[in-house]
Amino acid sequence: MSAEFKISNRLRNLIVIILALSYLSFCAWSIITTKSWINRPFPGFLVMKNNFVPVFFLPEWEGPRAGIKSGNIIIAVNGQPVANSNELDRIVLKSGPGKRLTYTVVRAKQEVFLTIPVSLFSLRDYLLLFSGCMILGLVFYLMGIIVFYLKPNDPGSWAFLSLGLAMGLGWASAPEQCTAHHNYLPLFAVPLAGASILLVSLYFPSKIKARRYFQYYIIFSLPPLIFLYLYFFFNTFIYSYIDKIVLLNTITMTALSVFLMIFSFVTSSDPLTRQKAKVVIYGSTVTCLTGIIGICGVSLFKILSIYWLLGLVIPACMLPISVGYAIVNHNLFDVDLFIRRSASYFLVSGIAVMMFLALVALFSLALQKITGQSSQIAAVLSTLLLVAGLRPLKDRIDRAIDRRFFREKCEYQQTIQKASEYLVTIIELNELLQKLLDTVMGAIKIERGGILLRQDSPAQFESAVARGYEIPYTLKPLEPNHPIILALESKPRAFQINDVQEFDEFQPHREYILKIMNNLGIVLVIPIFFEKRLIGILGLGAKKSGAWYSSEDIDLLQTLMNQTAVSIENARKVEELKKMVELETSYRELKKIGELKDNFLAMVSHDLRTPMTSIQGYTSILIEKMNRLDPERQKHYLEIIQNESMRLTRLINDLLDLQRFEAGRMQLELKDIDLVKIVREIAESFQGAALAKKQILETSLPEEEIPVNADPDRLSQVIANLLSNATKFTPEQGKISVNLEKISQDGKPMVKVSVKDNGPGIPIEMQAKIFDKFQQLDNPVQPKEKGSGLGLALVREIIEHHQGEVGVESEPGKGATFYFVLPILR
Amino acid sequence: MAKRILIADDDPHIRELIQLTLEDDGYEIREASDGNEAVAKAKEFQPDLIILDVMMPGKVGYTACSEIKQDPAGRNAYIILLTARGTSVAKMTGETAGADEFMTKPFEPKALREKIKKILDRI
Repeated sequence: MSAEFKISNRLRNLIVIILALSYLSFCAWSIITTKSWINRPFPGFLVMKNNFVPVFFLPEWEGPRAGIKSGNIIIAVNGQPVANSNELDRIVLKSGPGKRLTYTVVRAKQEVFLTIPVSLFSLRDYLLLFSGCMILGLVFYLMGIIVFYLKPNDPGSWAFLSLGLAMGLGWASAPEQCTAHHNYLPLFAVPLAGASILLVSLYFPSKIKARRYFQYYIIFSLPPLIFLYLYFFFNTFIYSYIDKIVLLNTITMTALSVFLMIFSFVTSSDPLTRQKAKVVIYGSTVTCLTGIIGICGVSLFKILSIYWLLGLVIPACMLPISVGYAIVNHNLFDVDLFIRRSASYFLVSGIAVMMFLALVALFSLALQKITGQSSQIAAVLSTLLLVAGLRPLKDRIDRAIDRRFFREKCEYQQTIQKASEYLVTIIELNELLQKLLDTVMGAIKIERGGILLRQDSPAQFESAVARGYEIPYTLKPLEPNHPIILALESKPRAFQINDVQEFDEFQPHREYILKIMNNLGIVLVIPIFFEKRLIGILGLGAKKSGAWYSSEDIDLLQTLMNQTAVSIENARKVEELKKMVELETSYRELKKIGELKDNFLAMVSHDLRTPMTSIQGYTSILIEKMNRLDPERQKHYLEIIQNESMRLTRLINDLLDLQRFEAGRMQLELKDIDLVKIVREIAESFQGAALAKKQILETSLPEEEIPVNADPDRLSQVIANLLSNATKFTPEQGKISVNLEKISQDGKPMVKVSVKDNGPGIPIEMQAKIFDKFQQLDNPVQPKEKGSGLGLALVREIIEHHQGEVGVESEPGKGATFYFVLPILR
Repeated sequence: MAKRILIADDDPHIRELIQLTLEDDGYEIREASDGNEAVAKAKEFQPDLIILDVMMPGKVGYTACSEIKQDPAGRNAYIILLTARGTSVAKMTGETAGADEFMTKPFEPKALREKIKKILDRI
């Protein structure tokens, strides 16, 4: 945008005071110099100093009635040429009222002779002419000054100020110019007005790339035109052309500005721009329409004198008022609200006027009967009565009108109020915020929004709930020293994106904050305070309608957020409590996991180190005492070394297998195999070992094949593991039996393989965890036989990877039965 | 009088290995295969030195160690704890239990023999 040129408040006040005073003194001067015109003879029409007939006239004047039109040039009176209007005036004054004068009028390059009686310029003429021009001028001028006062640093308001000055001075000086001929200000006003309107439209934040060229257009067209206008003022021939060019130029500029507004309205997605443009378009449309109607009324029905005020002045005032309103207070300017207010006031005032008239009529009738004549007292009394009676009624009427004509608005307020019910009933924070946001967004009809909540660790405002973002929670967190946060903490008030340019607390981060808000797609920020501490922020996107948030919207949302703050704190406390309980539980679980891990490490390290100790130790002994040891002992030690190495290998293999299973990286080579055959083979291979330990190994296997889909090597490992455990824990003369039977589980055909021993059995408390890693039992039977503590864990993993299950049944002291169940292949 | 040594370890190969390591030094050696046995033998045998494995069924080495140290009969025994782990935690636990010395598995037989010799000479 523009360079950072700042007007200080003192300078602003000074400018405003000078402008206001100069305007007032100008008006005063204007009145003083024209006052002498009251009850003064005049030709029956007005003439500018250059003998042109201006646009200002009343149709009932003698001039217009005789056919004088604006733009005509008077060159002679009664055959006597007049160089300027002063000479004409002198002739008229000399003639006196009632005397008929013949004027030589040039129109369309032809000379016409019109005879018009000299008439008196009445007070009524004066008031009608002056009031219209003065009011219009004053409105433009005032709006220009007010806008400048409120927004001294907005280039748009400067442009608007220049429009106000041009139009204000032009309109206010026009009667003076037409009568006393002391000023030339209207000559500046017309071209300047067009340029100012174009300037206003240029300062809309739209995507107008050619802004520069429009500026060139203004700069290069305006000064020469004004110069030519003034220079050739008395050269009637050239003036008539320049007059047309100036008018055309002003019309072109106005048309361009309207086009630019519409363009920025259509192309911009920024609601602020759209809103501004909309207002200006409305204003211009109303002005143009009413202006056209007024002009039509004047030319068709000759009713200017009545409609001069109503038809032209009042509608023309719409433009500066609406544009000024949009520039100054766009966050308040909700067109819906505007229309609603006008509708309600129109109705209220209509009803009031009717009631008033009825009351006055009634009172005066009654009082007239009693006192004879006291209609004025009646009016005063009835007014007082009406005011007293209407005051309490006003709110009710307002509400009734709201309900009748603006149901949606009414419902929306109710919806928001309903939301406050959730605040009380929902304790869970997330659910609360989600429901709240959905309700608010649904009611206001917006597509984007989110709530950021203050978190303590890490200290930032984090998205607690967000809607309308492509990925949830793209509402980025804000640091506690973020300009937005600091601004809200320094001045706790809601703001819309356009306020960022205005409010002092955003200094000097305006551009940055605007960028952030644009990036997040947020146009309204509402702070959530609890006990004077900012605990969160509600951010809302633009309304689907493109309308701005009204002050009512914001008040309502702010009230809602104030309630929400309490609910959030409550929910948080509940959450904290919950978290504390959870934390304690998870801490305990973590501790357990830690213990398990420690246990695992201890086991692994112990189980690996023990065979290693033997291997290293015996090797050392052998090396040291080789010569002194007899071959028998040497062999014995070597066997120990061999056994321990094998034990180590087994242990490592088991560990790796188990790890693979647990990591899900174990590849099973599934084949359709006969389970009976595998069990038989393994059982037979264990016969030798059992015999050596004087144990009996029995098998009870069916004759038929039982097909299963399994990895044969892994399945052999399972059976071998179970059998090896059984042989370890079964005493001499003990019995081990391997059993294989078909069963039905949940209607599915399964096969159950069980290995039964009559060892010491497994204590009840151990049965549940015997399949876990490193759960070893003391073996009172053969203490020498030590397993890895991984065998059964591996058995379980293998079987479960075959969609089967494992189990143990045991009665301590009487042996144990380990079994597994696998699905039969059909 | 020959110095007395008690070897407590659940793994028979380890016990045999230690005995083998010390066989030429003329000690009187007894064995125990679990924690309980170790405590009982320490009381009965009153050894000068005990080699105590930590990971033993029945009673872990730490417990056995502290029980022995609390018993008047075993108070003077010099206890070497055999640990699989050389961690500081294990060491601390052992010290609390009253162990005099630590050795981690696997150990070098020669080093063990020399260490024991030095200790017993000192006593």
